Amino acid sequence: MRDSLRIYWATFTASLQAKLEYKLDFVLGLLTSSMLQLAALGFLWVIFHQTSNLEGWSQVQVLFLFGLTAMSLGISELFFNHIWMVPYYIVMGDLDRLLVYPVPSLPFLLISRPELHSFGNLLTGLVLAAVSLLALHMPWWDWALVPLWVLSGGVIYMSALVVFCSLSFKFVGPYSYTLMIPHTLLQASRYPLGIYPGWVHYGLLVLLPYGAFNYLPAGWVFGKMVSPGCVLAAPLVAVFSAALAQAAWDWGLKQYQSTGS
Amino acid sequence: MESALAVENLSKSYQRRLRQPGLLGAVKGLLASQFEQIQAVQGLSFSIGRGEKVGLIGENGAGKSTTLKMLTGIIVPTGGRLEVLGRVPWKERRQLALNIGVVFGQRPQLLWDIPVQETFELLKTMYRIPEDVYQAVYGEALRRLGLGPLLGTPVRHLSLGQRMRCDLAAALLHAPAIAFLDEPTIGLDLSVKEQVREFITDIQAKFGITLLITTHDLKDITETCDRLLLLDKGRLLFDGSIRAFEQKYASDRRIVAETHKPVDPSAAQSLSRDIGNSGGKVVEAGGHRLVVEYREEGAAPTLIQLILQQFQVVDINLEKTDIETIVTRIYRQPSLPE
Amino acid sequence: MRPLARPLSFRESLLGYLTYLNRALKANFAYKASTFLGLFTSGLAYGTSVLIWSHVYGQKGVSIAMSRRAMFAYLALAFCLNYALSINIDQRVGQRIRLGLIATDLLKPLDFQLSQAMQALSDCLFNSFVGLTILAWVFYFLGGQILPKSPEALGLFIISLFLAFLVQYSIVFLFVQGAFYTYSGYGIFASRLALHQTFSGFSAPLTLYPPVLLSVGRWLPFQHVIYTPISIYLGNVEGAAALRLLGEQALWGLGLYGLGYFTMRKALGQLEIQGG
Repeated sequence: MRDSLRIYWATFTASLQAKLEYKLDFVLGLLTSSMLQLAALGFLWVIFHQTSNLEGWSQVQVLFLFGLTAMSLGISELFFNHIWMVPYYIVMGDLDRLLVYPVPSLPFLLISRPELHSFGNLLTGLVLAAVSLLALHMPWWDWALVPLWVLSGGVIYMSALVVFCSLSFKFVGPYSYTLMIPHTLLQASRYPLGIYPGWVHYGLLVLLPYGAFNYLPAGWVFGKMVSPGCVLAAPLVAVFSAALAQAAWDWGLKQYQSTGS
Repeated sequence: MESALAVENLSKSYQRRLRQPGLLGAVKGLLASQFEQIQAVQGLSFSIGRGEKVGLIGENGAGKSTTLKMLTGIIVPTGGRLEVLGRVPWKERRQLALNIGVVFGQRPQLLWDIPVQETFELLKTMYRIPEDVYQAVYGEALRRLGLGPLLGTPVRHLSLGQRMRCDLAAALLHAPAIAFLDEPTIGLDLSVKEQVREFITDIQAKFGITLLITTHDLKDITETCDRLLLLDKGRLLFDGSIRAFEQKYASDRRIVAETHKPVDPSAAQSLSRDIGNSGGKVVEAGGHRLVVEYREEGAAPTLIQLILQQFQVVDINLEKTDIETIVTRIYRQPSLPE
Repeated sequence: MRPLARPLSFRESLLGYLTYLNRALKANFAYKASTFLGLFTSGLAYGTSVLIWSHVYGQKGVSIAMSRRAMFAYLALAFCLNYALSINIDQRVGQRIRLGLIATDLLKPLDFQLSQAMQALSDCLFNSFVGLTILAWVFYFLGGQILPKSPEALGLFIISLFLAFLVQYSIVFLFVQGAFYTYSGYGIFASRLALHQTFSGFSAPLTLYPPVLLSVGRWLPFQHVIYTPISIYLGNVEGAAALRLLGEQALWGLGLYGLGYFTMRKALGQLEIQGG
């Protein structure tokens, strides 16, 4: 176990270091992910130009939701982004390489390609959350809990990607479209879930439990929900979904191994 | 001899989607797909002992890569038994991975964007390579393959040939019990090919590695292997030493004589009659060139004597079909005598 | 000695470009799974904004300068138009540039920019086919709201649609050249997408934008991909004003196409100096 962790860490740092040498790419990564976040903020701006609240959430409160979501996305992109390459590897037949290493394939794959635009999402997310918490004078423990939620969020989102990716072992397509589904839904989850019809609302809490790391914690911070479960939902769901992701990956790999040529 | 791998009646078939031609076909494909069954490998049986050096050859599509992928646990066979170092590859892939090294020459890729040196260090940790083994292989790789100048470069900036060399070094870095090398010299120039073969031979000898090499360049095999497996359309056609292979298929031997005067057709005809008893046959007679073909070993002295009696010969040569020619001939034949 | 081949005639090059179109259409049909998945994904993104607007319209005391039905008609049209005009030469060309394969594309006796445009056009034709099917569905729910205001509006819209394609393609072609300078294909794609999403009017008509955002958007070409054609289609802009908009579209389209041609030449020139 400790050996494995050391290997993962070494792989991660070496890859990240190598990527950081391309300064232009780094700056671009920062810029582009921030731009996508800004585009979403643009839409939010348009909405709040027409109304003063969404399900009772003010614009500044929604910013905190945006912040938590962006940081979780950033964590996932920093540590687990290689999953996006898998559909491409399958089409090109390049997944074989991964299978001849003596380490568990999923964590090794995930960790071995950090993405630089993660920093843009982490940074904008941090700014958004900070602006929101500062503007609303929230107490220090809200700040202190943010890392817990965001790390869990990264794991939950990663697990969703892995599950969808494992499906593409079976239904091979040339683009990463399967992965765009959990990605798009992540973007839907950064608005107060109560504005959606019930099935979407609960779908994003239970089936694809993004609400565990944005809607519930933020609701607790702003006193819209009181249950302490809202604080702890994120880490609990993270552990559960990671286990699910591993199971899905094993299933998918079996598909790949028995259909490959 | 301890067994490295054993294969019994191994088969692999898979489905391929049929694409219909034309735009209309494409629209149809949108609605319903048809599949065809491909039999990539059928009824393969052989076993290889520890430390053996084996070459696996066959035409494109003969099933070499599929076999290799089954042996390394990447894909699951559809039938038969398969054991590598006492394990079933696809069931115990990871434990097996510690003891094998793999090169896929068609796609030389170390998954990372990171420099070669760091990749090596990582592999050292990953495979728990003892310092002395690491130093031995690493030193040899630097010396034989000239990796020194490449070490600081991220893999994505290397040329194909450079990447291939690094890939090979990476695959042998832990001195695995078995090395599966799928076209380890593809796309390399002649001198680098030579370096690669020397490197493989050295490391093999030092650590007693079991080698299984697939290749289209037969020199890879004649220079590094003792034993040959020939696959044809998913079946095993030949299994034995390279010498046995030559004896079995290189049945033709030729005597090529250069004559002082142009060859007289009638003289050639009479020669043809004379040498018939000794198992010879005139296959070419024209200009200053006379070619006699025979099958049996040891017939050459008699035949040469007969030729010298009838012709004034300037130069004479004995030729044996080389392995490349044999293999090419086998590939061209629709079906083969067993 | 064999005489040198003469340059392709207009008809011959046209045939060449049509081959591109045909091939790409076939490929589009062949990848059915990803085609449907792609549609599904954009549907999800679109569904989000519909649901959000729906919530806003449902609130008490909110007055929006556009009826609920008109809003949804706009959004439906915007979705179909956006889907029809989604061009994925980003990935194709970007990757070829990064792998250095672009040189082989340039060896073909057809203009690269134009043949890629043909490929993009085929994507768009295929997508429009899908888009129209969706519109037919929406018609069932919204009725006349999603029909063009008048035959003239429809006529002008068709012209505007082609110009929208030109603008969109030229924007994509300009951005994709970023691949000459950076490995980050995602970065290039994402920055274009961000601008497109914000300023094209994909998720709301520009008239509802806050003044600051609107004034920025007015100076950018993205509005001409979605907002302009729909305004003409719905008859929100008519007569001389509509013609003026078409003129603006054409200017942006041709200007950006020309710019793309120029920058491509420049980038290739540099490539030769570096020796690939």
